[in-house]
Amino acid sequence: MDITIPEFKHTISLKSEWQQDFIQGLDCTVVDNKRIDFPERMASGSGYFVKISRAVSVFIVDLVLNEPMRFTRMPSEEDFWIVYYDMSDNYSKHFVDGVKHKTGYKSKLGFAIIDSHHESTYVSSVGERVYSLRLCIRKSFVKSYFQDVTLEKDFKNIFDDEKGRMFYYGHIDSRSKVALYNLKQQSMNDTNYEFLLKSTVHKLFGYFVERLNSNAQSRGLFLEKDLNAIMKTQEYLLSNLLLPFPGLKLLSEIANMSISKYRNLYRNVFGMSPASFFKNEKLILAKELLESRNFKLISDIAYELGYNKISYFSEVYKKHHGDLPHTVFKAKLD
Amino acid sequence: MKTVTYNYNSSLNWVDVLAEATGGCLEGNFIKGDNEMFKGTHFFLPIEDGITAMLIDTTYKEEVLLKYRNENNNFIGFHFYLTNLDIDFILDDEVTLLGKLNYNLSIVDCTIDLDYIVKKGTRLFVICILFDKEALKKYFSKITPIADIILDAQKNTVIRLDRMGTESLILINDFRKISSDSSLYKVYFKGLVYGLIGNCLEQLNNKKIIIDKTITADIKNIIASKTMLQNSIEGPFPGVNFLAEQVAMSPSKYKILFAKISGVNPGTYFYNNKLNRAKELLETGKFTVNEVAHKLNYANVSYLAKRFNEMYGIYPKEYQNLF
Repeated sequence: MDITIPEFKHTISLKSEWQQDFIQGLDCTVVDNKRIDFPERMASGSGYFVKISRAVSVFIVDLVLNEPMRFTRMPSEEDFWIVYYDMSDNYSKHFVDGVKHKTGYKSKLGFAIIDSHHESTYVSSVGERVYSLRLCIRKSFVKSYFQDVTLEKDFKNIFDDEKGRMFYYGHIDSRSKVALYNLKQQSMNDTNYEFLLKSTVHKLFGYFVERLNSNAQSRGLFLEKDLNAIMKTQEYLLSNLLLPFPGLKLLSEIANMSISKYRNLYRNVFGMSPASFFKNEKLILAKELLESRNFKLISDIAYELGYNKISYFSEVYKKHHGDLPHTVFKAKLD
Repeated sequence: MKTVTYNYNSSLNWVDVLAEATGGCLEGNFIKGDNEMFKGTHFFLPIEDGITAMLIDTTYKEEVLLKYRNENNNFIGFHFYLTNLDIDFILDDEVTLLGKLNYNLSIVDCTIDLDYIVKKGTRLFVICILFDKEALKKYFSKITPIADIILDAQKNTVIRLDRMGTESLILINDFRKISSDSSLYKVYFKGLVYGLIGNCLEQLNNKKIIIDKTITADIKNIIASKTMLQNSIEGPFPGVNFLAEQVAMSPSKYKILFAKISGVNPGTYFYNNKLNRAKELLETGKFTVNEVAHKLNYANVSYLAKRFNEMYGIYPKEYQNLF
């Protein structure tokens, strides 16, 4: 975690008092007791908080940061879950108890369930739209919706106060995604925003409960342990982009899994194979290198990235980016 | 003709009266009835302070005159009607039709006596949202044109009759897929009610025309034409010329009128509905994206995918996978 970025600590709870943290700590203004406007120098945009019932509340953040900032939510005494949906245009980094996770619309994992007893930190890039919604749901309330048996052992732990300090990451399911996309297009200033938000929240809650009630495969949630292992291999790939693809065998060894388990899990988490991920990242790097002006020849870049034939490099590059390396390279030189 | 008199308000003490009037029995939040007059349910739910909602889903077995009479005057009802047959809606001795091709949204002050004549075999699906006037003031006072219309004591007659927007229809249709046994029924119902209010407010705020008390033949033709478009949603877009010709209008008049009533032009309306149909087909899990594209007459899968993503923010394949 980059500790040079200023940190803002706040709490969140089911009631609205925590908004005081934002007013005092960040000079935010609260409109109607719901909308939280951020000071212009820090971020353009707003947060929006509504208490839906005694057991459910919702907090939306829709802003573009103008200066770097870390938001750290302090652990809470209250017993609730934070169900977190990230629809940001780009990656946001999300740390739970110091462990890094990438979330966001483009990263495949935009969904998380976090226990309120955890601390979590949110770091986002400056100048990009951040859009995230958090449902705070009292645990006892969710419990009442469960049809007893179907929850498996892994998942039951979440209700167990002793072991309850778990969290899950996963994909946002389709219906929730469509509902959120719809809400994302609405302006918080509109008079009907509160109704549309409440409508969305009820839907999301319904989908959430349905999801927890469905069987394990279709639930699409991953255990923290597995996910960390997968992330580790992904970081390995990212830090070795200049080498050839290391092969599934090595990766699965890093993750400490069998090859088939690793392959399936990777595909489920990222929606593509490790090899395609590696190729995509390589080509993104290629674009950066082409634009960097540090190279005199395209062939140098191709060799640097481990492509032996320039024509092949040009071909895959064009397939991915839509135009030839030459175009970008020349544009930069001019 | 049989006459039933109702009495309802935004606090729930009318529930027993309703149960008695319809000869139904009360089970939780449902009044279920099946007698010589009708078969169906009334479902009611307090939404939040000052807002109560009711869903009526009944099929009438004989012609009935429904009378609504209220003693207190502190609320306003928003009614969304979906019916198979038109209903005569009587107000101050004037008859208006409610139904598929007529008005299907009414906003009514509770002090007004309302009579409906429901024909035999009518399937009545109505969502009533009852707003306390105080609560309504809180939300509407910010929108002046609406506050003027809705809360002006002088004009306190039927406030307005209108047609609900496509979004509202989609919301209701989505909700109808949920079984009333589901433990989440109430949650989704609340979601529906909030969504309808939200859409309705937007509609009231942005609508260019306010339809007069009687719907003209032209408007009726446009509505009929919309229904026709809905029915041919799987085929190609018939084109404005063809549509206009069918209802004997000039294409330009047709386009203008259509846009006024629907808020979008005929093509957009058609293609948005097509996408919604695609979404529904994907939800069934019976078709691949390719099959859906073919079925709905898209030239190729990638075009469907592109449009789908523009509309819903997710690609069809992904939508299906994560479902």
